[in-house]
Amino acid sequence: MSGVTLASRAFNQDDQIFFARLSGDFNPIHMDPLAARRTQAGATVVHGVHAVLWALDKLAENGMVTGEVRGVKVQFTKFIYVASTVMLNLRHRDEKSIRAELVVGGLTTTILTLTFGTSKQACEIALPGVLERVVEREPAILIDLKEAAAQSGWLDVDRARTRIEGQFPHADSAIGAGRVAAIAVLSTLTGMVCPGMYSLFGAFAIDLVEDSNHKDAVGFNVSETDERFRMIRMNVSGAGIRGSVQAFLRWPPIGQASFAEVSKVVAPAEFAGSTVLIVGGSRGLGALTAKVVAAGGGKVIVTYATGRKDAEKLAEEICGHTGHDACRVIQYDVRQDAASQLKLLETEVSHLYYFATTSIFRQKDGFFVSSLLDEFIEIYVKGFYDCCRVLSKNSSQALIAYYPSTVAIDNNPLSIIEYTMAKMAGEILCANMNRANTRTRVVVSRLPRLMTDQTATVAPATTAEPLDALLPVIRQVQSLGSAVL
Amino acid sequence: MTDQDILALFTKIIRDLLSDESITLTMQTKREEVPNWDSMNYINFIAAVEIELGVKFGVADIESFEDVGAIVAKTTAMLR
Repeated sequence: MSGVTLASRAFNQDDQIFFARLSGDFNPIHMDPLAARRTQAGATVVHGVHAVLWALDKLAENGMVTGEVRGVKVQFTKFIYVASTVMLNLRHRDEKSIRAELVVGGLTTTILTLTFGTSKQACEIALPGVLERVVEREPAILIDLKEAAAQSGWLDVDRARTRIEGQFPHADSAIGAGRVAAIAVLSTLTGMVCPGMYSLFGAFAIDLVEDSNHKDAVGFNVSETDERFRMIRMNVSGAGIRGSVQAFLRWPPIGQASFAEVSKVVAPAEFAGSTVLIVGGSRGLGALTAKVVAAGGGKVIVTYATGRKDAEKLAEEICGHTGHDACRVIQYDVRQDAASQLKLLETEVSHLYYFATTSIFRQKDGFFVSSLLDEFIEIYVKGFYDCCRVLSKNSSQALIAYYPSTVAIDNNPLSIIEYTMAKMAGEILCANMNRANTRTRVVVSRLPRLMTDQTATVAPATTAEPLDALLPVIRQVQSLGSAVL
Repeated sequence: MTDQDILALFTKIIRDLLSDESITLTMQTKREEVPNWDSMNYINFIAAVEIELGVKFGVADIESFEDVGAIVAKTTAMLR
């Protein structure tokens, strides 16, 4: 069902910069690996519109666009990650339309439909009439859903046309350079203006029109917002296009309870005397655990693999409140040798919290991907065991470790089977570490779905309050000492 | 509309959304069993059903539908 492959390519980081300059869409999800890490994509993704214009160019180059293009309909269904190989597959072609897909690793990421006919003449959509109100593009605008409902304005196409003309020459020939630029500007509309910073481009459907009034700008207004899905629909018109855009307002990076908030529910000396290593402590549940333990008078060492700034910011927050050196930061990658990395500790650790993780919700072809299981096993099983082994070996006292498992083991969602399998393996490892004389006592609990960067999807999903879920667990873990062994 | 009419409409909508004419939904079909029917396309599917039939699902319903049959049943109830 994948059709005939007409072309393939990878988009690299230079291509990201190239298209951002052409279009004006500098949204961090495309440009900044660290910022993208804290989105549901988990890494930088290709501008969907860039991929579409490339596809349109290749369709035209391959002689697929034989009639006058009347409409362009695009649906973005998956992310295209930077450096992944994209295939342009022709799915259907007749005298009235073409249907093509952009496919990565067997997954359809983008569905592109071109319809043929004669361009419409009139512009019927009511838009803001004042052309002078051209919205600013940089930096990406921050709005919430209520603010989005009132958004309207014009985006300059002339500037984009100057930059883009000739970059997609076959697309220029097929639909006109002005319309190519107008489509590129739709990327800027969603990525920089509305919804702006925290946007996901869902789809667009446009007619190609002869519009003599607004050749140099695309006007937009929000026609609908839907808070259930954090979805925004916009009318767009101008520069030879007219139609609608669907976008989503994704969640901003999820911040956990502040140290001040945590301090209200934790007694000042509740965890005094403990030295706690929190692997994966720079954000999310690890960062929250660090605040709880420090608020209770414990000393914490948080590790990061890539998020150094997040970890340092956390340490600053904790130390700012405690007034002493209650939080240290070290780099630690659970996929690398544990012993050499943990030499940097220079102190004995009484408790370990293991929140090391990677992106859980993956785009994948097929229900089971063995390489993904390998990746998860390395982090959730081998990484945990190695860390415990080295810590307990270097310590005069026994180690109390916490292993966060998941209710996915109970629910068994098909989409994350590899993750669930790895966590099950982790549970079995923990049970046997407790049975064997490993000088480590492991506490395991299956955490419910909690609001973190990973679980913050636009689709409705019930999540529990992280502090409510974690605090009893931390109290249980901290109450255990080496005497229990 | 009968339940079977609604099911046929759902099949048409999901085929169109996923560009896959091989899909045939049954009352027992779970979203995870249909290739590419991920959370984003679930939203698009619900939105398309709402536009097509003039109904509106609540968040709790959207979260809790376990299979296509549950969506059909809720739709039928709303159309009454």
